[in-house]
Amino acid sequence: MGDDSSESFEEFVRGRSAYLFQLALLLSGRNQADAQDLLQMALERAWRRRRNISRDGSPEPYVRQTLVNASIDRWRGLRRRAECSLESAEAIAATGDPIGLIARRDQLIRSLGALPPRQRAVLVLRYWEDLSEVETASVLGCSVGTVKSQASRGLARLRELSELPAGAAGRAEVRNNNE
Amino acid sequence: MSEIETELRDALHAAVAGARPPVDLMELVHQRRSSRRSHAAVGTMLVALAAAALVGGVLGGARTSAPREEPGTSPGPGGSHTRTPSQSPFPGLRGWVRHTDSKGDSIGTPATWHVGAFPALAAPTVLWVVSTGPVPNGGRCAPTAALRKLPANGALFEVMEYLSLTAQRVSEPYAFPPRGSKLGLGSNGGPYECWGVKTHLVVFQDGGRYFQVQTVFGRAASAALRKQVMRSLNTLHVAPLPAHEQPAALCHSGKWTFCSEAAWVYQVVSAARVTQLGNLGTRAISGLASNRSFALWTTGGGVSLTGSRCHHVPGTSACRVGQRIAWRVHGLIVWIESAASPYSTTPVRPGLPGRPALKRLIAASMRIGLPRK
Repeated sequence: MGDDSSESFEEFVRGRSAYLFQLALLLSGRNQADAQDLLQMALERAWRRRRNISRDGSPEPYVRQTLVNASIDRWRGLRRRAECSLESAEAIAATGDPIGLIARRDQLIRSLGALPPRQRAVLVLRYWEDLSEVETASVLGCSVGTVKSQASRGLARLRELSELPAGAAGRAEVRNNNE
Repeated sequence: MSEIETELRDALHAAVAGARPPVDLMELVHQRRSSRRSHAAVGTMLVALAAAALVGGVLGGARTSAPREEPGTSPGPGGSHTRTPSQSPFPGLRGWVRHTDSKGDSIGTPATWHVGAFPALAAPTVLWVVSTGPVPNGGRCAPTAALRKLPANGALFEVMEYLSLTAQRVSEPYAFPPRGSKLGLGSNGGPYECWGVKTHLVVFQDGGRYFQVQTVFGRAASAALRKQVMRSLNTLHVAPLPAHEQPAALCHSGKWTFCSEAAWVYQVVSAARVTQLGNLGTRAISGLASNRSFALWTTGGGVSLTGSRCHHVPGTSACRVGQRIAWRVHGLIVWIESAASPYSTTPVRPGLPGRPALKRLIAASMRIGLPRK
């Protein structure tokens, strides 16, 4: 396969491999094995259609869309997923404490991984990719209204998961010493 | 933008900053295509193989932090695999020469020794193969052609560097202690992957880079030769990475496994006779005891643990915090949470460690001091 479409596709993949991998990582809840599987699936699908894709310009939009859809389909097809505990024990970071900041971010990402795949995809596209609501809707093949509602629900759920379970009976309480 | 949106944006960027695919993605595509007829999931297999090699390494005592790749799969950020060292007299050591490569890494050896690069591996990258005998090219993932030529009274060593097999440059940075004032040969173990013979093995980090040295002596090698090999190893000079790529900077950017606390947890896990199962990305080390897999990590001690389910143990209190167990030690809080093994092939179930393993972990954490930053 030495045609132009093959070469330009390979060039695209090699040039954008870090971006594609990072997107797959976020869509898969930061699971490297799943991210790699997703990428393999999406890229192979794109490779088969590379001639058509290259006629339309850069393969990136197609690959991104395939990746996002594959991530949603994939979780849909899984009967059971490893459960992640979302206890917010170390949720409140000590100000200026890098380890606390790490814990806080880590918790957000873990909470993100617990969202339904479509909600997660919306948040990744909106806040990591910085796509507009219209662009996000286009990638996901849904309406702008759906993007808005999914983003709103996703953020609300993240807020809920990452808040301190104040006064939770029977549960250990974690307080910031500095308060 | 609301606070949660800003936080999420920062967290997303920090979570994958600098992440790179562990293998050439086009290779994955071609592999999948070539194996479609047999419906083999090559990506999963690659990961499973990597995991199996890693787990095998851990369980078998080998310290290889990642499976080896042949060229063409992942060049890594280090760039070229073909190294053409230049030679110059070694100052202060008569009869020795210094071999310097294009990156500025160098090593000194007696002028009569043979030095070669071993380009048949892409990851880890082989920096130097040094032997008292000839160093012909050959060998799939170890310098076995040179090994075959090793005289009975000779010695051979290989210096390898772990590059970007994983998104975080090296999969287990905490397993590489900082290079001390004197580099030893390490214990003699194995037979190791690829080599097929026992070798001395030592791993260390220097200048933000991660190295492994394996040494083989002929059966009639003298004590004087051993000293010379050690002397040669201690002339190894490596060019440091820029400050922003150093472990401290990576730690600060949110990659916990690059923090000195992760190295400490690794020591604690080892001392507690808990099997180390790799890690969960950069956020936690994964442990295994009594067939239960769990995650361990630390946070700053700037929070207080007040719970109704705390139990006093010598020196501290272990608290049940929701689904987690936490205790305070050396100004930190150590957390344990049930977590699936990072290796889908490992037949274990997620769960908190049982009381004996937990006691060992707490005791080891009290006993082992935090490394100096």
